[in-house]
Amino acid sequence: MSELNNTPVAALLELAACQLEVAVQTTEAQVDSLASSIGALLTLGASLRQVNGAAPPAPAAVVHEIVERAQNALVAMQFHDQLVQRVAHVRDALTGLNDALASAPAADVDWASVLAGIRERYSMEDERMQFDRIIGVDACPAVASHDATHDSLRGSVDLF
Amino acid sequence: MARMIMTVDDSTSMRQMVKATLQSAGYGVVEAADGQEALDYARENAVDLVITDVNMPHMDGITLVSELRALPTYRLTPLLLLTTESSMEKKMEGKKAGATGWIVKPFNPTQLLATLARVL
Repeated sequence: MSELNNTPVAALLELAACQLEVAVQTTEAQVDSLASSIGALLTLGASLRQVNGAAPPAPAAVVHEIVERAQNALVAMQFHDQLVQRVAHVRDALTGLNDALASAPAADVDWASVLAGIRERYSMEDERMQFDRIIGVDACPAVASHDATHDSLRGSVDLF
Repeated sequence: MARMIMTVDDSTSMRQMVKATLQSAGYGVVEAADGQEALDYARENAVDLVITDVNMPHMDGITLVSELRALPTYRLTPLLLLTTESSMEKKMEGKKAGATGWIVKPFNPTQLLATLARVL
């Protein structure tokens, strides 16, 4: 039995994991609604382009701006998908940590397996790089450890 | 007749974004929430192009690409991976499985449509 059982650590880990889950779930419906609205704007802009010429015509500049703003919003919306993934990975890591500490004394836990399991779930290269940099160092992780170079790869297209 | 594209992603909002972009350009769209659902659909129906995420439950996108390439009707169909993954290692996995291309999220609608025009 873990020596942490008489401390609030296990409960706090579980609480943190649950809070993250709630954060994701409570925004999901709103985000779906937002995504739907953005999609409708894009379709509207495309329709206006096609029917322009009928009276009264929508000014070309207005149509262009609608389409451009809808496209910008669509790109921005996709970062929510990344947020959900990042939050899910944090939640899973906390759950994994809690399970490990609940199953054995901290000194007896196979930490290499626990850490490998956490890293394996990551779906973005900058998550893995941040993990590799921070795990094993004593200093408190800084926001600057986020790898900005992978930001430049977002949106890239490679045809094989 | 409009070209038909299948979009595969376990994120509903991502599928909505891809679908809205494709439909705004006149493409027909079918959706699947994971690789297995997409494969089940593909076994019975042909589409002109598949855009799939990589990390999904039940069947990931790279496995889906590999399975689709084994189907006679999908041997030459353009298969694009649309994913948060940007590592060269993963890209090479996708290429080896038979993917036509690799797009790192977030996608730009104009760029996505231009890519589709190139591969279709």
